[in-house]
Amino acid sequence: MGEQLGQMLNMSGPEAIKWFAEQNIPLGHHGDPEDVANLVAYNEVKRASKHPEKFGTGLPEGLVATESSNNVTVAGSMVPLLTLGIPGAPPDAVILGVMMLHGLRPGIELFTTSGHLTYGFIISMGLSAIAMVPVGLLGGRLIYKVIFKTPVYFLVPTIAMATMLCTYAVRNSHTDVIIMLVLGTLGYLFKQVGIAPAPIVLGLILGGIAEMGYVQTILGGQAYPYPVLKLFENGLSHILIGMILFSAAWPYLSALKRRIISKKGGAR
Amino acid sequence: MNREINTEIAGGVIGLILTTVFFFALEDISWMSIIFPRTVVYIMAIISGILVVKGLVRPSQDRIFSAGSNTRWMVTGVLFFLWVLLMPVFGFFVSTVVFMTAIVGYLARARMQVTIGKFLIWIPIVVAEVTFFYLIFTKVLYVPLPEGMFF
Repeated sequence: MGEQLGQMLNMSGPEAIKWFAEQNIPLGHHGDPEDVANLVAYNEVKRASKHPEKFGTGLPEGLVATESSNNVTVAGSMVPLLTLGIPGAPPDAVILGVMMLHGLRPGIELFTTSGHLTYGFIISMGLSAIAMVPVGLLGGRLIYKVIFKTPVYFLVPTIAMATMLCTYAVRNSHTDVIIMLVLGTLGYLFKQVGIAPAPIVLGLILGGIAEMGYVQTILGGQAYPYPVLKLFENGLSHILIGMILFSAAWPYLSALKRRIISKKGGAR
Repeated sequence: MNREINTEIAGGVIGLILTTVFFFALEDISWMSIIFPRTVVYIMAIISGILVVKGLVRPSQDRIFSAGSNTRWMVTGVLFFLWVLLMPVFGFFVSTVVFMTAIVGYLARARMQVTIGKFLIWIPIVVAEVTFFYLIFTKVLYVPLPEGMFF
């Protein structure tokens, strides 16, 4: 564990910034930020890795990316709740309900009228993050040992049972469990032919949000000869499009950089 | 099944097939509801086409179904399906105990010689594990799990 921590702390500046951005960028949307942050962080770390083929085998980089992004969403999803009154995740909706019950109206005025409570929230979140360190350091070692000592032939059916139970518990539906199994099998077969299941899951989670935003934009752009041009009108859109293009081109750019460096090395 | 294929062409062709299916499924949708699905279908068609072209221009072969035993994952998959399909018949508890024991026994076969003595150790562990989950879900979380001919 110490070695993995050291590995993370030894990151170069750009690597650390990328790591931080991967874990914080997906937090501002409404939906289920934890799922999205997990998948985006895993996918980006895999893409940036020098050995992406080793991902999926319990590589520390993949585990750290998903788990740290998972934790980071808790604080990130509180930002829209406290500033705009929009819960960023299901637990925040519960907090919003409790705040409303006590006569507090989340929004900018919450900081001026009930500052002691708001800053109490922020400080308590910081303290809970610190409290997680000893729990993780002590509990992590124990859990790791238990899991690694459990034979695979016990882990497989146990994980399957937990998956079935959780799928069933969402709507008390047996059909949902059958659908989960069918889709799981399809996902496995897709993975074998090179179609990664993570983007499909991401599409399922973000599809509804993307559809709403896209349809609103197209309707708003009816005055244009091509309504889709509305997407390129805003400065923020330009930044986001630029980031998407950069992210898509990054593996090719880094491969090109590696090729140039190796050529220079060969010429010497 | 342990063979090499061009996964880019395979992925692209699957994408094109799905695109075609979704394209014809869009016929009876109103113009407002069709905006997003139609855009996604076009994007999928373009990306799948690029994948196929890339696979043809720079062909590369990848091994598929190369990790582990194919028979083992297929048998385990069939056992999973039987487990879920028989759950409403036997109830969650009984079907889970039966199929978990069967899967443990089947998967352990690849690593060791399975004897009745080992089953006598595994069955109480499985029963304890299933009982724990069963009680948590029914008594603590109040999730009514499927009941069959037993409970």
